[in-house]
Amino acid sequence: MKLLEVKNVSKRFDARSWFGRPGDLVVRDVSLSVAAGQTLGIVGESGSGKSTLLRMMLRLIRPTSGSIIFRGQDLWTLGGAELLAVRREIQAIFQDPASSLNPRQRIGDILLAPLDVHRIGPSKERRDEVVATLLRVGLTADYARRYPHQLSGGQRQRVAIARAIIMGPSVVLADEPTSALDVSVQAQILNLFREIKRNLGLTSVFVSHNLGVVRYLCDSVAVMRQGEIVEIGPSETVFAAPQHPYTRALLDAVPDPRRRLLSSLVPGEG
Amino acid sequence: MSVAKRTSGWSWRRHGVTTVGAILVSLVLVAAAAAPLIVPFSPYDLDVVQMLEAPSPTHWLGTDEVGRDVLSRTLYAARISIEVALVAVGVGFGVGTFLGLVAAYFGGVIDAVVMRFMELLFSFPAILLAVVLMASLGTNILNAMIAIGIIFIPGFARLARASAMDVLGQQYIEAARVIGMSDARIMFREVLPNILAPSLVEAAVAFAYAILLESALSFLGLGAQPPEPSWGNMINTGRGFMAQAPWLGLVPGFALFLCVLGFNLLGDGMRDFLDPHMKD
Amino acid sequence: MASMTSGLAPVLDIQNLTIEFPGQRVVDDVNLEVGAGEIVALIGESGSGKTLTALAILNLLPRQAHVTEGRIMLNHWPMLHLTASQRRELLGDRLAFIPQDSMRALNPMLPVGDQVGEPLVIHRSISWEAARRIAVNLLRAVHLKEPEKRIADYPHQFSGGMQQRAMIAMALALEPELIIADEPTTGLDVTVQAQVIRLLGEIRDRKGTSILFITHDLGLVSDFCDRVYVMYAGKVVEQGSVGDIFDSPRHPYTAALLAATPSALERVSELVSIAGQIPTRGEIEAGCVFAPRCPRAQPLCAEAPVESEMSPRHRVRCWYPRGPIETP
Repeated sequence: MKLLEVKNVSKRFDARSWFGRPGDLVVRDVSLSVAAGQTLGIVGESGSGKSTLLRMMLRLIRPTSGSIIFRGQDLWTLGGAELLAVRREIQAIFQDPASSLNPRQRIGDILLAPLDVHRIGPSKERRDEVVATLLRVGLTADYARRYPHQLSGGQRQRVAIARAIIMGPSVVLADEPTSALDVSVQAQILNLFREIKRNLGLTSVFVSHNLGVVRYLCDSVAVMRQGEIVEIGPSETVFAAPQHPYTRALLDAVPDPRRRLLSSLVPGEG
Repeated sequence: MSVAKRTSGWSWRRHGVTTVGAILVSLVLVAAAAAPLIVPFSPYDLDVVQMLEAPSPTHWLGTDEVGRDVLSRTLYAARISIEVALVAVGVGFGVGTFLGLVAAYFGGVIDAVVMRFMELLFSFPAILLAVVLMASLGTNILNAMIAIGIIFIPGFARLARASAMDVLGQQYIEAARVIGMSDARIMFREVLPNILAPSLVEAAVAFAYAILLESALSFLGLGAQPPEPSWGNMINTGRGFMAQAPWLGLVPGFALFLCVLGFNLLGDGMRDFLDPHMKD
Repeated sequence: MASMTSGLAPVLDIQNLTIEFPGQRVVDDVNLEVGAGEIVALIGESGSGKTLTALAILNLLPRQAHVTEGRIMLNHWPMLHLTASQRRELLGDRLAFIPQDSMRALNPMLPVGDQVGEPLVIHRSISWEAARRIAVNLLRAVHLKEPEKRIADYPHQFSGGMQQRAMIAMALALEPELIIADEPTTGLDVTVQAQVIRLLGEIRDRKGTSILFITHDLGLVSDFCDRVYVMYAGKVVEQGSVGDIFDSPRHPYTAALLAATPSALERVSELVSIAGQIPTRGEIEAGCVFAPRCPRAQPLCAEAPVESEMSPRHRVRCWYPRGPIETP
């Protein structure tokens, strides 16, 4: 079943400056869908429009044309209580661990907020749910009392994941959540994300410029360039046998320690 | 296991100026609060026999032109100044910060209208605006408070708006929207705590300015009315007696100076103190 | 002092470098060499001390950091004991630096051509017009199109990749012997990153410039560097040629780092994550710095391991290094 669909979505930003061209199309006629339980990766370089697309899927930005459909409903036709119910189902993890958590709030309060906003469970039990979620992301209960600046980047991203799952959403959209992390920390967070995806049966969309990360996590992948999807398909197919020249160029340019291994397997090399 | 040496901690070089400010401010606040208890004489008691007496063991700072004790009047005047400043800054800070926050959050037409109105207020010289407001509202202390408060609103609005726009670009605000938080909750629980620090510093400095403005207004006869003592009207009266009784004008003038200096120094020092990264 | 790589003296020779903040040692007994015409990578995650090591060479350490031990020789110049005027002469001329954040390193108020030409004016005492002419050639050498027009542009008119190439042009202006590049491709698109790396390789090939390349990205290194130093929590834990490090990593940390790197070219079934976290500055224990997280740790690891040689150019700081063809 297609849980989340993007249908012919385009986005043009209004001209802000007094001089300069009127806004170009940042996203051009993009269509894709994510089936329940699947993970879709969206890769692209800067200017590809992938982050704008994600924000439209999160209903933070309105498409200039086209629609975002969740469980058969166009997101922008919803309002009030209906919208609140949908918000509970679609959650996000952002890129910058330093700015995605309010520096003046304790971790516990940051995690409590979604429960309060949606009035989930009797209020006495909400704190218990916060602790349970902290444990689920590999942190301990005493983290609830700390402030974000007391945590490392990896720990903050765990909190970001906790915030995304605490309401039990169906879909999690992630925008480069590991780009700002060290390699070893990234591996921990990616494995955590995989485990949580499996345990909670999440559907997810993972935007990244890092092709290795996308290959590791995603069942299918869409390659974007300058607002358009140039190639889309199952991960293994796209990565092992890329069709579009841009996809091939990206794979050639990607830094990869295994490249040595692969090139050294070429027969005849001295 | 090695432990980092604390780079924070009190030192004269780093905290001296702020501490002096804090001491001065505390003195003024204590004087204002405790005035009724510590004054040697009532500030209203006339004693024509003793008028224009120089400082003496009975009257430590002398008496004025109708025999009232200058020390007592100076202390009571502190109360007026603090009261006015508190209300004025409260009004300016409260209304101004709210308007700036709303303008930044909603943007567009609301932002344009609010800020143009702020600019209108801003473009009047403060004293002139205060005089005009008092002329229409009536000359008493309460109106002085309101008038000065109105003068402060645009400054706080601008500051709050700039800070809020900065905060609104952060990812935790996006995250709040994704969670489904209402606009009101985002504004007051996510944005507001993060913009208070610079506004509070501004408030401390505004306090000093408020006291100065109050003195100016009462100097012009528009603030506290006789027989209420205010530093401003005391200075005004003292003007006429500079030859025979210089202490009449100098004492309240010096008190005003110390008070304003104290708040300015304290305000400067607060900036560092309120940095969230010091919260360990 | 003969270098490891050839019989000649190295261009850069760091010996026993130790840097401390009050009460904490952040770089501990680091030895590092860069030979003439070599590209050497210094790999580490945050807290490894790699950036501080580079800053020590340039004398740009933060105020509270102090070099408590060690020597840094750039050819025959003792970098830690130069006078201010000697240092001013060397920097830009014999030794150039490409910083991480090119956008913030360029002055937004000056045209790019002036900035690229500035080292020439300062060190070679030529006129600004002559410097600008040379700047055009430099911009062409870094493959910027229409360099005659570009020298009049301001930094904000350049894309991120172009800004970084302008920084490289500035570094090349005086044909230095050594370029220190600190994460020069962070934030750049993958395709642009590949171009910048290729450019640095070209510079070494054409002019024999040595390069010290500091990065956290293993993948960048494997294609274009000659030798690699791996740092963790202030110590060099492994050093060797690129082949040594990538084909047979001997230190458990190096192996773990490789196993934790996702790949687009190959299907990875499981990324091996290292238990625990990188120690914060105050937490470093005596003994092997990696022991708390090491799957191979033994009681002996409570004593700081010394370096042992696995092969002529391949050294490890570990009591129990992995075998040559162990899988992670």
